[in-house]
Amino acid sequence: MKKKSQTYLWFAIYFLMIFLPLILLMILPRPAGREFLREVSVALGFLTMALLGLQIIPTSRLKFFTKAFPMDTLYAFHHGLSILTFILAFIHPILLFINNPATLRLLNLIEAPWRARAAVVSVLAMLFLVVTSVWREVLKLKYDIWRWVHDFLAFLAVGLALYHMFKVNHYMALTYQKVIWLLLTGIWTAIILYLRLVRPIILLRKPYRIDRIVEERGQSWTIYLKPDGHQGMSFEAGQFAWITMESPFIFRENPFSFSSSSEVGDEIAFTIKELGDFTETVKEFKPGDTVYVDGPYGTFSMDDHADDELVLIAGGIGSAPVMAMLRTLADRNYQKRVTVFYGNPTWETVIYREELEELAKKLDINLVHVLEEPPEGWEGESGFLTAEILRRHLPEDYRRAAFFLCGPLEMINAVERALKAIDVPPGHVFPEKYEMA
Amino acid sequence: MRGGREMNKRDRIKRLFIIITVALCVGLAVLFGAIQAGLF
Repeated sequence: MKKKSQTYLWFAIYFLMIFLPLILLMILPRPAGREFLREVSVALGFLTMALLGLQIIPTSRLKFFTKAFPMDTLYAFHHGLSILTFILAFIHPILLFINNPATLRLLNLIEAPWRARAAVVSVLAMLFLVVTSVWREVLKLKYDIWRWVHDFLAFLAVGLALYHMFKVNHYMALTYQKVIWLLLTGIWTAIILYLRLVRPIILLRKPYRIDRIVEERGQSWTIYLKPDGHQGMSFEAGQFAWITMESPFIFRENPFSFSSSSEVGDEIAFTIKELGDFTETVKEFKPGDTVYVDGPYGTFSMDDHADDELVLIAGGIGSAPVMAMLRTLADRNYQKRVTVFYGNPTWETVIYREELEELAKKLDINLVHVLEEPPEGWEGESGFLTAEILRRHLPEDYRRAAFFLCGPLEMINAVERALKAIDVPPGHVFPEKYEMA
Repeated sequence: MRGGREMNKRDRIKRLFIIITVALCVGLAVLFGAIQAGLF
């Protein structure tokens, strides 16, 4: 199936899963109606439930889903729709209170019936979910702790909301509503079982061993992995994987871009910069250690642009996927010109500095280093990557080139603006933003 | 360029998707309320 058709099919399924219960309720037999606000509230409750359960899908990393949508788009959907779900969940009781202020007594958790207690705790769990996700960094929550908290609160919110809905038992007394909600719950449960049980088992059966660890510049390390008792995986240069040193059942994995050539079948590599948490432990890894690799993921790939002029723009550790692309191009004996812009704080922190010089002998690379704090006597570009710097080094026909950008979010946003300023068609720009969760 | 469409599509889809979802949620909820309250 074509990618476009696949995208539309997923949208259709997604909307169907959200709206089908309510639409069926509108066209099939149902109990007599009540007050307007009360019924609007009930409808919002149904929609909240459907949206809440579906939130597991965008971040599930199911391959048939990640092939249709870029990962950062899926995360953006998840963020946006989760906030919408919370707002709907909040409006649901507010409308009931406006309709009949006497229902405010349901907020008294000591005397309220269990269905109301479940609803209140579910909405509170949603509130904590949103707060801990949106302000994770402000709250200084470590990523792996946040993930456990996120999972726990999500289970709590969904489970209690379902309990509330079945216990209220007004429209849910209808057999077709029971069937459809049990069906939806079944789908959500199946996805959770796959994520939490089946996928970890698959990963356990396909471990990798660390072959060697190479210290790079800029407090970074490259770990080279070999498949242990299996064929390994094929990936496209630019893609990434989630890796963990612990049991895949612990779910403490982190996403990293492949930095090795996609043409080398029996070895994969990841370059990891020390940025706290897991990344600080990389230097303690030893050859022979087991690593579990879940991937490949992502649509950041140059493989569909073999005929285009390539411009690769990297900032700091964003050079890892760009390096994978350059190594792959070298292995493929790529003959065309490649322009590389590479931004770093200092000359000493330029990851792959020496290897890039070696690659320049094999490939037709126009390598432009841009340093924030250049050393004395530096004759290259300095400061941040601007439209002027881009224009100075880009080939004349740059508007026809494919631009691949990878680096910190702020840098990518600034470069996208610079590219727009020099009239690069937005459709030729492919960003990989290094902030998703 | 496959991905070329993607980048344009990416921002457009994100915005459209959320707007359509919000509009449908509010629209259907109000419609359901109106039907059940006998406003039609």
